[in-house]
Amino acid sequence: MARWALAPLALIAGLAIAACGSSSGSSESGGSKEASSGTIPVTFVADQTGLVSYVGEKVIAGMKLAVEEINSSGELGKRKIVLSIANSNSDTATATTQMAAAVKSNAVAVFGPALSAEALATAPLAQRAKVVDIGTLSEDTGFLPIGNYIYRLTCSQLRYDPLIVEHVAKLGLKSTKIVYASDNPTLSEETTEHMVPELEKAGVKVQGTVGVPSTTTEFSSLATKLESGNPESIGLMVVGAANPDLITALRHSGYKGVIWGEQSATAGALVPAGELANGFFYAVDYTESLPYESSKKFTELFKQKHPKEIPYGYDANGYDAMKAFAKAVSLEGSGPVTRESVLKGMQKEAASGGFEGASGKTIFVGPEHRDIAVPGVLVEWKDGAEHIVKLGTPGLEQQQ
Amino acid sequence: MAIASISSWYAGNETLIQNILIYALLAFSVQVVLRAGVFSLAGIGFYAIGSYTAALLLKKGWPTVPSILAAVLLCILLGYLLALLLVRLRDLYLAMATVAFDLMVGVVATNWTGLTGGPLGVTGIPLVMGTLPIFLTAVGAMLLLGLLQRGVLGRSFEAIREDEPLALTLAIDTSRYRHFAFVISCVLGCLAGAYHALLFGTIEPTDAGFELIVLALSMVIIGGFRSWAGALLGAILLTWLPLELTSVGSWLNLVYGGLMIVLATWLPGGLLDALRALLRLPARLRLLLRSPSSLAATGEERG
Amino acid sequence: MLQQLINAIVFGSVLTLFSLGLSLAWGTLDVLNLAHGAVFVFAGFITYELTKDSTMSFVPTLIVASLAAGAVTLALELVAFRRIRLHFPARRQAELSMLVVSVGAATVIGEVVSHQTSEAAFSPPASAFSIHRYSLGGSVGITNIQILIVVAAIIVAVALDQGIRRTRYGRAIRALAYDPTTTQLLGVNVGAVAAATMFLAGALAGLAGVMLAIYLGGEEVATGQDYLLTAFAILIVGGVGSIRGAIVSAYLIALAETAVVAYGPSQWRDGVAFLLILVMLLVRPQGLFARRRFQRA
Repeated sequence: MARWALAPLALIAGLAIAACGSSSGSSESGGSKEASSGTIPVTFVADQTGLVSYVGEKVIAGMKLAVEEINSSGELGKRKIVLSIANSNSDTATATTQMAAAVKSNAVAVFGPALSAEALATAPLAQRAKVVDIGTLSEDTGFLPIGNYIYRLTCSQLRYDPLIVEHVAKLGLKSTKIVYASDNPTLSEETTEHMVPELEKAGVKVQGTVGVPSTTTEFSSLATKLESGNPESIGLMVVGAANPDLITALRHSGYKGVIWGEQSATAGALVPAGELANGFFYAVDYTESLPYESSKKFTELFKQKHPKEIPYGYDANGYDAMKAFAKAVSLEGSGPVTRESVLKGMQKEAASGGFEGASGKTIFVGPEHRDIAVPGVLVEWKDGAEHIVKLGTPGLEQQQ
Repeated sequence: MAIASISSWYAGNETLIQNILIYALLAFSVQVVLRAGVFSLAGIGFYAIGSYTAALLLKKGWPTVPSILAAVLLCILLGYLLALLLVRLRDLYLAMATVAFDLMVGVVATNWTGLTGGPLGVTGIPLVMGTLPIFLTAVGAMLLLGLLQRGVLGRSFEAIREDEPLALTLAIDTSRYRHFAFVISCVLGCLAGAYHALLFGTIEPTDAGFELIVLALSMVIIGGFRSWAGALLGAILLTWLPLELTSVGSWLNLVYGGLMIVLATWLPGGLLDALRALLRLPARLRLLLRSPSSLAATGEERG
Repeated sequence: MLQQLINAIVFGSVLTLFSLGLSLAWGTLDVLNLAHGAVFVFAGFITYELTKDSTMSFVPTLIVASLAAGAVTLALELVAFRRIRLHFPARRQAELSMLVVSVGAATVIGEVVSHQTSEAAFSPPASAFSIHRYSLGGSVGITNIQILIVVAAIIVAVALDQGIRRTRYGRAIRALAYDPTTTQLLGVNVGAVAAATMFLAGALAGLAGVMLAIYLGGEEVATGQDYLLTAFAILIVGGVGSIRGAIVSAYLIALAETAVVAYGPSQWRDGVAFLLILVMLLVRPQGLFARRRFQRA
């Protein structure tokens, strides 16, 4: 009988061992609790592994690049940014645990993970601890309302709808059909709530929208369905392999019209479709050949560091998020950096018109100026590379 | 002084503890059925049902406790119905049916937009949950599971797992026991889901997908499925390891996969068995020195 | 309409190629191999590796990639499944352990592939196999890879069905599925038959993986899992261990999913397979085509 009492004891012991283990693991940050005025510790809770690691790895690379540049350029005087990466494993539980550890550490700001479930679950922890959380990719509408410490730098497709709609209309396309990933929160909402009405307003007839689960890869029957009624263009609001697969299926079943899409087609996602993807257009935050001075600088730095790779939007987002932070720190003078001073700096930065980063001139938009918007650019995919069609202006959707 | 350091330790690790407790409940939900020889993974589907029910009721203005209770009652009802329906199935067939059920719950949650919010899920759920109720629930679950592992009840479950026809001839009402284990599993899954939703304030329909099924199963197998302590060990390890294995970085899941192959092949009792064997090692060595032949016998009895 | 029928037949052939190996392993050896989908993607990955920088032609690539997929599954059998079968006398424990091993193996294979491809979708270059479309009048048409998939599925299905019915090896497989102990007593080398079966199952997944890598236009690690879940439905509907049942139900499910995508709410497509699994297991757990339950449970 007495052995039953072991249950709670075992639980407490287990929790204690785990928790102690974890705090000893992060002792390098705990030990330097009294951070010298020379270092600026920040933590990025990143999707280093798991479902969206292909995004996480790139955002990390971009962010590291920015840290190196900022630290070596003396932009922040003698102070150096020290970036810790905490792996969220693309998983909400791990992300919250990592975020809790980050806000407990001496980090003066945190950068949040990409998946919207992770971003939404981690942001309240940062808000409660009163530490600025710059979300790197979350487009979810519920993210910013979590509190005044929550910022985000997101390649929000929403901002680029006008760019795409305008181009579809300019090409003289009279009709379109749209496929969207029905289980993707952002894409399904955006297609039905924004894309369809905007296209209709621009005089493009939307013949129909079709939702498919995002894991689908065999699209021959869907291609046949989409082609019926001969729409002059077909829009793909899907993620991952569905982009090249849909293009392949549509072209192989004889579709001759224009196919356009959204930014998950970036970062080489179209490579598998080969020549069939030529002419596909979509809007992104950043592409290699952006003409802005600050973009050229990023591209050059990236090429030096990773000579064999092509920089894409995710790299640029990581870089820009760190640049936004550094600008906020520099606006608060040369004193010691605290969580409060970072918030004040961010507010000053928002009021003073943003910063210039990898994606160009960037401003703070939204009701409380916590949504960091980049200009964006419409690109066309041709022979394995993105080519600029039209440059955007930051905060385009605000003017609509 | 001591109290202050404990409370600061607790404050710093609260989220980790909460996650461990929630995963422990989920792992218990898989362990309780596996141990009874019922290969059901329905607990993960009930994780989703529990989280949606509690969250939606709470958002409708229900108080916390009735919301959770309503979720539990719904899960008992649905769990019992499902148990009745699936009564004929055994082993891999049952596993497959329950996995199909879990994924079907996900498909319904994604597409029944009017009720569940569709792919956007539910956000802005009031954060009304604290650590203490979850801790107490976990302790309660452990006491219950401990009870089920002991005495007549425990032996009956074991008999059903090892040899069901034999159990029947021993006048054990096997289907009643199986139903019981099944419903307990559903309730534990439901509680884990409800607590998670009220603790973190957000649900997405993909939360309880194939990955969660694999994770829950991994916890139980890596820890050891014969005892609740194994499930707890697995839940602690797999919640905590990702934080520790930062040096492994992007190879984290490879380590998990390899660990699962090794454990399932060489250590079916999981790490708990390895731990026990380790603790028993000195005694066994002494035994070995006295008479080598008796060693085999002690090994046998554990089976 | 006609085009959608062709689409359904092609999709059914894809599913047939994918699920026959899975059915073979479960029906004979009680191995529910969740790594089947990962092995399938692995073969696509090998195809990609072989063709991306070289001019290796289609047939040798197909053979090498299928053999590689077979070898991976064989390794799994030799390292883990065989040991489990010998050391865990309780069938229930053995089944569970083998399932868990296959989950672990799926993770390991998936991680290796995603690392090598930087987690991006991959496909062999167009030069590896040039795709042409033949018009069948009006807007209806079929491509050469689609024809190849259908032909391959028919050949594999017939060969496997006849092989199991008529050859010595087939007899050994059937005996093994019925009663491993007696089979062993009758002088059949059970270990060798099991190894051969797992190799064959893996090679079949590989064959499907290569064809799909060319047909789809882009595979990623998650692709395997999607097909795996559909294949579960095929096995359950067709009756576990029944080759003919698996073939018929592969085409039935392809038809059902095509109909949902073409004429119904396509976002419910995944639900078709899961619902079929649940309903079949409730109504007729032995499957549509098995005359009696294959397993002794």
